[in-house]
Order: sequence, then structure tokens, then C-alpha cells
Amino acid sequence: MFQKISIFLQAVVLVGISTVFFFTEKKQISDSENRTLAQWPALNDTTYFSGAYFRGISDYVNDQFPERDWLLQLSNSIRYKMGIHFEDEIRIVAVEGGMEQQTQTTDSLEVAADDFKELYKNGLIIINGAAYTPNTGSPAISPVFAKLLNDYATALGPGVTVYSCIAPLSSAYIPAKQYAHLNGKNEQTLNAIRNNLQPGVRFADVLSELNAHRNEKLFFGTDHHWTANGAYHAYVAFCKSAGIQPVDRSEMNYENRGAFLGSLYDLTRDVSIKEHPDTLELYKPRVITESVYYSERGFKNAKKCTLFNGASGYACFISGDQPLEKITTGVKNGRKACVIKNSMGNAFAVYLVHHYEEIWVVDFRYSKHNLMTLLRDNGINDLIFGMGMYGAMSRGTIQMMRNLGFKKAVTPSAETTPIEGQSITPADKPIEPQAP
Amino acid sequence: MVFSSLIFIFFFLPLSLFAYFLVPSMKGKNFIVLIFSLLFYAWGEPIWIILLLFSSIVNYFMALYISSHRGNFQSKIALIVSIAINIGLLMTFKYADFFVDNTNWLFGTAFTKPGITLPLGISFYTFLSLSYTLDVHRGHIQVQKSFLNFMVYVTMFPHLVAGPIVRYSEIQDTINHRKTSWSMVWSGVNRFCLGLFKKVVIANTASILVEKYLDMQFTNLSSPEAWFGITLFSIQIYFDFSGYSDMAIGLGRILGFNFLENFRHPYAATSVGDFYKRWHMSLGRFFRDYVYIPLGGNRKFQLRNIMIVWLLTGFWHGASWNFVLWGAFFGCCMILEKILQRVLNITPRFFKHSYTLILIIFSRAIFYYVDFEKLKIFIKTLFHSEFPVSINLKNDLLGYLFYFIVVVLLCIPWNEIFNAEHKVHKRATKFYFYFAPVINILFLLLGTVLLIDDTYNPFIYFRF
Repeated sequence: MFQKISIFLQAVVLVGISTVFFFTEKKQISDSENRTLAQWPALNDTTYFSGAYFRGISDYVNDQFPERDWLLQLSNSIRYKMGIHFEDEIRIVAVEGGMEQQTQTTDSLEVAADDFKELYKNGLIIINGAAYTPNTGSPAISPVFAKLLNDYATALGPGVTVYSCIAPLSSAYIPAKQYAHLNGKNEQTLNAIRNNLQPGVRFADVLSELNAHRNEKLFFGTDHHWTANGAYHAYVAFCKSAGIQPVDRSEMNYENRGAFLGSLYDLTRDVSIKEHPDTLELYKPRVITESVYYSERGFKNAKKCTLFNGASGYACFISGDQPLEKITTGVKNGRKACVIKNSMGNAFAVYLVHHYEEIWVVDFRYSKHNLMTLLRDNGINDLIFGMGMYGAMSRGTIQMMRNLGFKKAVTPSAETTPIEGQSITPADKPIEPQAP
Repeated sequence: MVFSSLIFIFFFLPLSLFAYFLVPSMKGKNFIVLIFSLLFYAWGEPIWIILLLFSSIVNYFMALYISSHRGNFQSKIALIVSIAINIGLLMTFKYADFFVDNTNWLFGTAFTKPGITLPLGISFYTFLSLSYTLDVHRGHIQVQKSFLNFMVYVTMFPHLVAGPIVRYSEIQDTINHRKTSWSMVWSGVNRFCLGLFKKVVIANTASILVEKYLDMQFTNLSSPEAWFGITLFSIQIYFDFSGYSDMAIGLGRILGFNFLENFRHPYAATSVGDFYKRWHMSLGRFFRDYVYIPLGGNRKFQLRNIMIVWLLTGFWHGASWNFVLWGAFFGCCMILEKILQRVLNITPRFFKHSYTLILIIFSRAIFYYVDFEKLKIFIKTLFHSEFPVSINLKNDLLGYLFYFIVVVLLCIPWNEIFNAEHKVHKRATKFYFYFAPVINILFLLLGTVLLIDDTYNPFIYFRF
């Protein structure tokens, strides 16, 4: 009798959970994982015979499982509690597959596949609840990036000044002795860029500026970006290279938006990261600005946006990663800049509003606009490559920046494929200009 | 489909069992098993189901023919044809690329590789079918006349894709007539939940660390970390495969079938020979009965026979030279053990256990690295590395301390230490009887939580 009752009880638990599944509201997007959730797959010859239909159903059950978000957190807590942990321990966590699934699904998410795939393929180093990439730059690729800037400078002529304003990776600031050499490797990469720039192309020494403030919070611990503070020091480095006076933060409005958990927590669900949330502190320029952003092609359907939106994380800067954004400021000095950037450039670009009447922000990963036309038609004075180092250490991303100005634009899917050994000579003819 | 997936646990399993127990007749039950088994297979391999059906139909008719002509020349011809078709299918669908690669390398030819994706479970169901026709030919079993029942034997979802390689003799009585008892279902449920725990909690956790040490940090591993990583892989592969076998045996019991054990605490072995009497026992039994003994067994050319069996065992695992090397390694170990038998007989048990474990763990490297270059570097690292031990080792040893304690406890052969008559055994059995439902529900919930984060976690033996 005991066996019968216990089998019955276990069957009730099993069937009970299955039944709850049918009555749970199905979702489109997972906020906590920043990705689209699997929906019931379509049945046709192709999906059936390839097995995609059945795999789709399995994915659907996994993604739409009741209380999935809570169970994900619980799953990480269970794995974390399989042993003993110390506050100052250094751990490397694998992020297998996780980053592959990250896609740009919402406006609040500005995680690009190329950054994630490469930056975290070797896992993450977690110290005191803060995550760092163990990767560094690549001095071997730096000349390729430098040549890109040189080619732009040559093509644009003396009327436009080209700037290299590249941020190091968070690996430069891992607070552990055994990783001290990673700082040196970041430095080698940036120095190799500087050494290969032709005269006239200016190099902002972001690393030295950040190093001078290494005891401050320069990078988020739960997110793969830098803080507004880190971006400010990069802005100071840029001003030094441009020979202009940086605006002190005392002349900006300080705002503290409180605690948040960023992309690296989403990626790892690591318990120690969760226990050490970041604080979003902003330094908002007092300059009046108006911003609009455009889709990846053309200038129709401009959407209004603001320098800082209401997001509680890194997505608050210039409305996240938009293919092309135009910021018009109240500074009437006739100077115009164009920033070529990946997501690290978002926090940096906001400080430039102090010095330019108009700033065009181009995300090289998504924009299919013709850069040369944009620069010439709008009378740009400064072309600033302001981004995280990752954009400058992969042949694939460098080629994408080249394509913006010298070649027909590529599709976003190409951005993840490094283009090894491809010629870096500018293509013959830019594509036809598009009217703004 | 895999057992350790949410769709299997919460939908396929309840639905199939409900249908199974709802149907009163044995024919109906077998029909239900067949339908769900085909669905189970088609879930991952809708195309290769044709191959499975073809193989089953051929073997069914060949066995009927062999049986009706037993003792005649035609029977032998039919057996040879059956073996040729089975081995031919395996060679074509599993080894074609390997043969083309090696032909090109040997003769400088440039044949294109067919690039066939390995059909799921082909190594298992081919051997299962082979054993059936061979046993029919030898007269060890009665031929199964019902096509439905034969299909149930071959395609039954508990053992279809990753074994154990069930012999027809194990289930010939139950396939036609079986009574499902509550105690069988009870024991099956317990076994299934234990398997789920072993796979999802132990093996999948080990896989996270294995990837970290054997892949991510491959280029800067210290020797202790290399040993740690390969030990973790030994943990992963054991709990992965034995977990699968436990689930298969458990499901079999729920349906009223009694499959033989496939594992018997292999890491408690005191010699390499002993290890393989405890590891993947159904494969060992296959090679013993159909290769080793027909070759002469221990009566003539024993050492040659051992080496042939091990080379074939290695090759069965995959179309790659590293598996052949792995087989050769074990063949040599077994031969050495035979030669040193007298010395080993007087060697203390602790020493024998230690050397066995070291050899087994070492051999896992040959299994893990299919790329010979990587394997060479890794073996070198096991004995010498210029890199110091990183902080990871200490952190992971402590960070997974409770996990490792559970692993060690599960590797100890408690039932061998305390036999059925021992009071500890009796008390533990009594305790388990009353707490099994709680333990099972705990394992089920724990497995579910960890599976949420692990959308695809195939069993290692799927690739064999």
C-alpha cells in the first residue's frame, strides 16, 4: 500500500507540473535573459524532415516553462552552493553558448554579438562579485586598425581631423597580481595603434588617463561596459589630444539612478555578481541638446530621442545602440563631429556635446549609411573613432568600419565573421550619396 | 529526444505511461511502446527512422529464415547476409568518412567524403540486432514470430539510442507476457530518479568544469590542473553514461522489462580487467560472446584475442584513430595484467586500486582529445608543465567541495562492502523504502531546476 501511495504522489507531482505548464501565460521576450523566447514552431515539410519542428517544440517547452526566470536564478544558487566560497576568491566561469543566444531584441539592449562572442569565449574572471574579460587586445591587428584611420584621413583631406580614442578592455584593471600582465597587453595594443598612425591622425591616450584613476570605478562589475566615470576620463584624454579644455564634472548635473545588474550578470547568473550590483551614476552636460536616430538605411522615419533616456542600466546613454544618431546642441561654434563607435562609445559621446554644434554617432555594426557622403554633406570637422578596444582588434570589425566609407555596406550577419587576410585597400568607388 | 529533458520528463513520459497502462491487452501495450518509441526516435532523427525500420525489417525476416532452416547451409548463408547487412550499415553510416579520409591519406587519392551525419543510436541497435540473429542461429533463443514484438525489442525507447545493448534472451519471456507489479514500477521510478540525478546534477556539473580545464585553459594548464580536469572528465563520463543506463533500466522496469545491469561501481575496480567487468557491461558481454569466445577465448591465442577484442571495442566507440589507440592501450594493459598475474596476486589491494584508477583516468585523455596534436600536448602537460598551479584549482576544489563528497560517496560500492545480510544494508534498505518518495521528488525538482539552464545536454555516448 505504501508503494502505491508513494507512486501515486510522485505521479501527482509530475503531472501537476505538466498541467501548470498549460495554464501559464506564454511570453515573447525574456527580460532577464535579454532574448526572444522560443514560440511554438511552424510545421511544414522542411521543418519536419530537418528535425527543426521537434527541436522547436523542445525549445518551446524549455523557454516557456513556468517560473523560468526564478528557476534560472535558483539553478545558479544551487550550483554556487555546491561548495565553499570566499569573498576575495578569483573564479573563472565559462559562458558557453550563453552569448550565442544574445541578440538585439529590444531598445534597452545594446549587446552586440561580436563583442560578446569574442570577449567572453574564454570565460569571465570574477573577483569580489565583479566580472572581467580575460582577453586583451591584439598588437598584431593594431596596424590594420591604424591603417584604416590613415586611409580615412587621406581620403578626407586636411579639412577633417581623424582621432583614435580607443578604450582598453576591463582586463587592464583586474585587481589580482596574476593578471597584472593583461594591463601590459592592453597597452601594447594601444601603443601599436599610436605607432602606426600617420602624422595628422591624433591619438587620445585613454589608457594613461584611466590608469591615473585606476582606483576609481572605471568599468562596471556586472556589465561589459565602462562607467560614466570611465567614459569621462576617456573624454578628458580626447580633449587633451584635440587641444581643447575638458569641461569639469562640477559643471555637469550629477544623477544617481541606483543599483542595477548588467549584461554580465544576465550572461552568467552568477550569485556573487548578483550580490554586488552596480550603481548607475551619471554626469549630465548642462548643454541643451536635441537628438534623433535613424534606421540602418536612409534618413526617413527619424525618431526623436534624448541624450539620456530612462533606462536603469548602460542603455540610458544616447538611446542605446542605434545605427545612426544625430545630436544637435546649443553650442553655436560651427564645429561638427562624427563618432564611429560600438556600445562603449555611447557613454563617451555624451560629453562631446560641450564642444560641437552637431554630433553624428554611427554604430559601425548596424549602420549601412555611406560614411563619406555623410561626412562631406554635413561638413564634419572631426572624425572620432571612439569605442571599446574590441572594435579595433578584429579584422572583421575593422573591415566593417572600412566598408562604411569605402565600400558597399555589409549585412549585420557578416560582423561576426573575421575577414582574415582580406585586402585593406580602400575600394574604388563610394556608393551613391543619399539625401539626408 | 533525451531522457534528461523537460519535454521528456513532463510530457513524453506521463503521456506514454498513461497510454501504456490504459491499454489492457499485451498486444495493445506493445503497440503503444512501439508508437512512442518511434516518436522518441523521430524527435531527433526524423529521416534516420527509415534506416532503423530497414534494419529491423531485414533482421526480422533473416532471423525467421535462419530459424526455419536451422542447421542447413541456407541458414549459414542467411546469417552471413544478415551480418554483412548490419556491419555494412554501420560501416556506411558511421565509418564512411573515416575510410575515405584514410584512403585519401594512404593512396593520395581525392575521394569526396560522403559527410553522413551519424544516425542516432546506430551502434547500439545494430549490435542488438546482430546479437539477436546470432543467438537465433545458435539456437540459444526462440525466434520472435510477431513483427510487432520484434520491433518492440529493437526500438523500445528505454534502450534505443544509448543502450544498454539488451540481449533478446533477457526479455524473451516478458515481451510476450508480462505482469506489471507495483514493486516493479516502484523500483523503476526509484532507479529513473537516481539516473536523472546522476546525469543532471553530477555529470552536467562536471561538464562545466571539464570545459573550463580541458578546453578554455588548455594552453596554460599546470600538471595538477590537467590531472584535475581529466579526473573531472572521468567523473562526467561515468555519471553521464551510468545515469543514462539507470534511467533506461528504470523505464524498462516501469514497463515490466528487466534489463541486466550495465555498470557496477567501476571506479572501485582493482585491475583494468576488473574495471571492464564493471563498465558498460552489455558491450563487454557482446564482445565476449560473439568475438572473444569464438576466437578461442582463453583456450588458444588468449593475448591475441584480448587485443582483437579491445581494438574492436575502441573502434566501436567512434570513427577516429584515437578510439583505436584507446582500445590498443587497454588491450596492452590487459595483456600486461595477464603476464604479471602472479605479482598482482600478492600486491596490496590499495596499490592495485590506485594503479587502476590512474590508468583509467589517464585513458580518458585519449577519449577526450580526438585531435592527436592536442592529445600529445595534453599528455605532456600531465607530466610536465611550465605553468604554475593557478588559483582556479583551489577555488574549484573548495567551490565544489560538497559536490565532490557526493561524487566519492556515489563511487563507493556500498553494496559490496555491506552485503545483503549486513545490518547496515538492512537499515539502509529500510530507510530508503520510506524516504524514497521524498528523495525521488527532490531529485526530480533538482533535475528540473538545473535543466532549465541547460537546454541541450546530450549524453556523451550519443556520439558513439
